Amino acid sequence: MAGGAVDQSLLDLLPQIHALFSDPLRVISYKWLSRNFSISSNDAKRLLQEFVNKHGTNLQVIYSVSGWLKNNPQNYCIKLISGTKLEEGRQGFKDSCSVQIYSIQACIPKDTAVLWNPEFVQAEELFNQPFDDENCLRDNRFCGVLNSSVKRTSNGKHVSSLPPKPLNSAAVVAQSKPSVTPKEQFVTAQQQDLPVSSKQGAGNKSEKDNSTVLDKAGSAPVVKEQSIDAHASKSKAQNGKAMPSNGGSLANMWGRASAKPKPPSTTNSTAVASVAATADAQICAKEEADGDSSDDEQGVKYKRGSTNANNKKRRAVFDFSDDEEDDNIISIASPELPKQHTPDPVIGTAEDAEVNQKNLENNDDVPNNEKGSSMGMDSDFTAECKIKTVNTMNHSGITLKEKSSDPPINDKKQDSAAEPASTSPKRRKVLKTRIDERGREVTEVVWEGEASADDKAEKNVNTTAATASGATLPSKPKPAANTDKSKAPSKAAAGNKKPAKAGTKQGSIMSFFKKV
Amino acid sequence: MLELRLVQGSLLKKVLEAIRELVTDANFDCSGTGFSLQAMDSSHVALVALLLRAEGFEHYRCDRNLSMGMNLNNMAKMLRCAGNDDIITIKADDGSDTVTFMFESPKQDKIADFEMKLMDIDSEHLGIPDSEYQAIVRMPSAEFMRICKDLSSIGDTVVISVTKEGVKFSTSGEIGSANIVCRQNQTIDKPEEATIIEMQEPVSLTFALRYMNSFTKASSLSEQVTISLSSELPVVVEYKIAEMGYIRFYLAPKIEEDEEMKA
Repeated sequence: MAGGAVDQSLLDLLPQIHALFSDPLRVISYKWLSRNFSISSNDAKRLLQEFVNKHGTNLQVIYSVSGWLKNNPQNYCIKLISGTKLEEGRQGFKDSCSVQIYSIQACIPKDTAVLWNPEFVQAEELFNQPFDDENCLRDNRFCGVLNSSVKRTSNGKHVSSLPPKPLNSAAVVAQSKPSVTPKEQFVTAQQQDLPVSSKQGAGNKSEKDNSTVLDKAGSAPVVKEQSIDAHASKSKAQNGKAMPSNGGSLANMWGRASAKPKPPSTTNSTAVASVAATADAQICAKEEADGDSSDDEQGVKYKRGSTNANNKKRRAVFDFSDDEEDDNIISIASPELPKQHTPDPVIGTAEDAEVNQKNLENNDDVPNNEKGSSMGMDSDFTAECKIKTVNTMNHSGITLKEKSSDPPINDKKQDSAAEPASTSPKRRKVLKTRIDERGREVTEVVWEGEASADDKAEKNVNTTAATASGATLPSKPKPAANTDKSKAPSKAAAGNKKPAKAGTKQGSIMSFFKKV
Repeated sequence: MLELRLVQGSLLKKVLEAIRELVTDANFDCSGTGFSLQAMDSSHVALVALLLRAEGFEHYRCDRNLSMGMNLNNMAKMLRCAGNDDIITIKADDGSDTVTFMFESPKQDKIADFEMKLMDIDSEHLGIPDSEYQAIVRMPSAEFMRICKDLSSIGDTVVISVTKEGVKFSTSGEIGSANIVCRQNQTIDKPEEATIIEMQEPVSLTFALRYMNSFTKASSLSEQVTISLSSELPVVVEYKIAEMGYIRFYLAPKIEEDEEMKA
């Protein structure tokens, strides 16, 4: 699909891409490219294809393959597959699947977060631009899914968002329909964002990851759009105009969780935006996951203090995740720092056994990434985003929602059937929620040596979180989104509390004195 | 026949207030040597031992050893009816299932009798060996009460560490942590304000603050409290009762759990 005719003007960008590519740590995704050069994502994909055609020898390509799975024809699946496994991955799909370039990089990153982190940072930068600056994110010009009812605010005023593009409906329809059509590209592209996270691992494990990705992907497109909106809302928040009341005490008390919900509440459009933010949020979550979450809380508190004043909810979330390092905190405020952080972890991870991690990542990470990681991240906004995404999906009437919601589990199962990664004794990332000495619930993403036990733990965490999330985050519409957040789940906390407090045991006087 | 006349009746009132929170029912044992009580709290974590020696009573008559089971809350209710300056006389007949408290006003112009039903209590009497404690801290009881009260607002447990430098009470909780260090302080002119540490070797033990706070209800009985610590032994928090006896609280320490818990 990507290999269509490319304008000469676009071809002029190839040298620049080449220059960018010379940075060995850089992942050039079509999305990043699209935003960076303000070209449409389709053009960006074609550009990448051109680049691969010309310099394809010493670079790694990750394709997004979307279509209907053979073994699960009811789910429209979008997978990220590394170039070497492309054919293998495609065989899992029915005849007509769309293959597009997702990103090019010098090597397949071990940590899939690297794939989308640059995009996230980029999005941050774009949204941090002055309000009157029009950029591709703010005007949503490249978004494949548009919702006419979504309004965009600039300068604190609600402005009717971009006129809904015909693409929206088309995209929605496309997803619902089994056949892949060119229009779907938008959808797929959006979907890819989500899949990407899962696919990081997928590069290696394309098939499984893909399947999981698919489920997520279904939800993902919506998320992306929402995220964009969310960005808009974020920008509002930054201005200080956005829902100061929401930013009030509750938000502070609940931290991340509360902070996110607020933006959605303001307006439908904001809600949509928040949903869109999920992809970014996930990225953040991933980044955060690498760091200690325990520290996060402190950082969060501090940040909040500052953030509250500004009513910047999003930032507060980031701070939480990054709080371990002062630099991180700063970075949160300024988008650039995250970039630096992300590359490093990638390199380190890359060195680790890729194969093992791949399996692990595929099974565990995918869920973690989308749900667990974001949740674990403590980033409130992710949870909100997810919730919002669900809501937004309903609002927009996108059919994808159903698929997305169901698929994760099913896909996992199918994938796992093919590759029992979960059972394999490999290192994996596990979401761990515990109560620290201060009685706060801390969720961490930890590399675990034993797969099976960890998996169980993860499952428990997720389930508990999901169940608890409803109770804990009443304000948020959907428990699933809450599930992502590790903090929210009260049950998980309760479960964790016991071990945490178990450090000492009260002795009995009877063990010291004997009866007379 | 039992008849104990205690001029300083308020002592008995204070004793009851000090232990009734920890123990609800207990047997008072009367013998020729004195009036004593030993009881554990319901969770068998703490033990209270009370002794009022016969010499401390103006009149002490105990024909035969007698064990009287009483509900301490009910006993406290009755004792509250006594004025602080009243003389309290405890009377019981052999084989009777009641005990009588008689309150005489200082001027002898008012006499009140309160008869309380006794109860049968299966008490587990523990033999408490005399032990050498590794560290003995004597400090103002009000100070100790204040420390326990303050720390309990921060955390659930207190770590009492005795070193040459002094005694450190530390805790940590959700909101933060606290450390209170009391150094040796021998004030010659005010012995009741002295803090004296006798230490054979450093000790550090962890205790539940809930019980410690309960113990400090006895602070009104004595200006000074003595805390005896030894690893492997319950802490002893002792308040002297005038010249006639003591009330001792024993509290089992909290034990570090094995690695399994931490893992």
